[in-house]
Amino acid sequence: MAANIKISSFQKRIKPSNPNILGTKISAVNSTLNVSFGVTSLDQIIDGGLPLGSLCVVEEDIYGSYAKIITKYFLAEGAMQKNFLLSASLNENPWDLLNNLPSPVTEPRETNIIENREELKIAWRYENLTLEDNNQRLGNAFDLSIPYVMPETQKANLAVWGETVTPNLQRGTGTLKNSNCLSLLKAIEEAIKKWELDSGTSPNLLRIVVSSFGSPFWQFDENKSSLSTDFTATLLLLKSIVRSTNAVALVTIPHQLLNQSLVSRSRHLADVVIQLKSLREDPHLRDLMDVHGILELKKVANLTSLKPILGQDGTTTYGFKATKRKFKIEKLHLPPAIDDDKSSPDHSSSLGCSSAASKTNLDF
Amino acid sequence: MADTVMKALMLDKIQIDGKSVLIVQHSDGSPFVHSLLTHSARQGRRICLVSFSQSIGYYHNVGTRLGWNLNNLLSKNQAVFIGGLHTLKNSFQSQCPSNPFNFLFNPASCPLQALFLAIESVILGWIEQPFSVVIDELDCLLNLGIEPKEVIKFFQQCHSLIQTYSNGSLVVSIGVTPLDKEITQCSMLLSHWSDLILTERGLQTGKSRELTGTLTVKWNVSPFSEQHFHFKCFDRGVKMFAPGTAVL
Repeated sequence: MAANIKISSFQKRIKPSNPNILGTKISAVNSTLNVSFGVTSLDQIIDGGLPLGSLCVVEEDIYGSYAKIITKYFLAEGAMQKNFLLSASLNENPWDLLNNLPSPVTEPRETNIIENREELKIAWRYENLTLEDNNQRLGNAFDLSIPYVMPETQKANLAVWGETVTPNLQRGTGTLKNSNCLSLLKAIEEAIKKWELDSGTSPNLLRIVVSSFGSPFWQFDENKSSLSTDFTATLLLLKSIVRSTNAVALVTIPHQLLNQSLVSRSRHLADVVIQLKSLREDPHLRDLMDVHGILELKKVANLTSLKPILGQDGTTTYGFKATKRKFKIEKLHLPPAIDDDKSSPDHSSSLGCSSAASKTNLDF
Repeated sequence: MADTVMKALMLDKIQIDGKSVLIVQHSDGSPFVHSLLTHSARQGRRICLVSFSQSIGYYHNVGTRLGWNLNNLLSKNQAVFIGGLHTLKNSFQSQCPSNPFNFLFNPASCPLQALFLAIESVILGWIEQPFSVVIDELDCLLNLGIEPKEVIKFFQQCHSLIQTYSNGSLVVSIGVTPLDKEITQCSMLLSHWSDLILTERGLQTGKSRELTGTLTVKWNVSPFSEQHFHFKCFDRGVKMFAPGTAVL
């Protein structure tokens, strides 16, 4: 007997299904795959996270401390999602960053049970439900004080690039001359080849973190009169590498040490630019706000349409509070104007509009 | 929606053949590059798209929102894409001399020659039909380490191509910042050679939901006019307004 008799010639068209890539979420706005930062509030203001294949530049605060916290969260989220991680740094040993990641925290869900509830006559279907916070954060929270113990299987997913790791640096002969940059790009290429991320079917992604790119350790400024184009050329090459593979790159730059035109050029090149400013830098602002610093979204490029991506309510300037257990980003607001007698005398000449009575609150 | 942009630029009445357009971007002028690409595609012109910092997929994705299909045109040979992030990556992996970005890794006396020859060979195949050469973000060449004088020379060569074959048009976009002297000087020099100059700026006080930025349209040839507009970018296009009327 014939086993399969075809009755009709209809064939269902089966699209090759995309493998679900670990650690990504489809964005509601653009349908791009977005990679979480590890900080849920940052994900919320950048539409779910970094698009896969993009280059994010973080302009560091003055001592780089908050930028380092953000890179730790980024890598910790990658470790939780079992992504591949590559840490590159010339300032310090790159293994230090990977060995001191924060560990995830599972917060106890607060469920408010209504006590003494009357029987609901109209909304009786809701009787057995408990009140839940509608703004429950979806995502991981990390605790910086508890170091993350990485399981052995995941240690194979790590790679580094740094001073001790790379011997034999040769200067380039074309317009891209800096040997550090060339060896970094080569190391990234090798990592991608090793983990087969450019095949198009890999279910995992690579998170690349370059710390303090452009600091004097990178030896960019040999020719003082002209701008170092190796800096921008490397950023552009890095962007081209991550765009065609399952990878995302986070580069932190000490923008106060660099030539301002170089910083503005790198803003044009990158896809997402975030600037961190700690309030330590600006003593006048310290009493005005109760946040630890200011986070500004200098640029969030939309890779699929013309519509600009603005943050919540159209603002791009936010304040952040960084504690050991939380990194919270919120809208800026002035603290309530309470008459306080404890204003310190050194603020008397700071605010231009303030009266001579050395009040620290803005008085309009 | 691309029609409102064309009306503002007066390109619905003035033919773009033989003209060169310069887009000076202070914050993000990509909407106008895309609008001009849409205009060229709608008119059935051949398109030679040269890009240094975006991938083909980006132009295709935005193009589909605006109503034209880049991949379709590429397969029918009505459009050619030169450069892009993919070529940049290949230049790093395999250093072959015909790659336009090979100057990054191997010394060359005339670094942009490969790029110009690639564009010229495409154009020579199209001299009978109307075509547009669109170069996106010329300042990326400066970022890659090319001297400004080489970039100017390259622009002059492309410009002369358009003037020789009078049914072609050239669109060049260049991103500037006031702090960067090199790029500002380049853009001022290029604006003297162009027929239509679009200067795009963001809003002075930050970002807004109502408006994306301001545009100044300056014609160096026949209408000799200079106009200011405000514009807002939507998912499917750009709307232009007279200054102050966006919220009405």
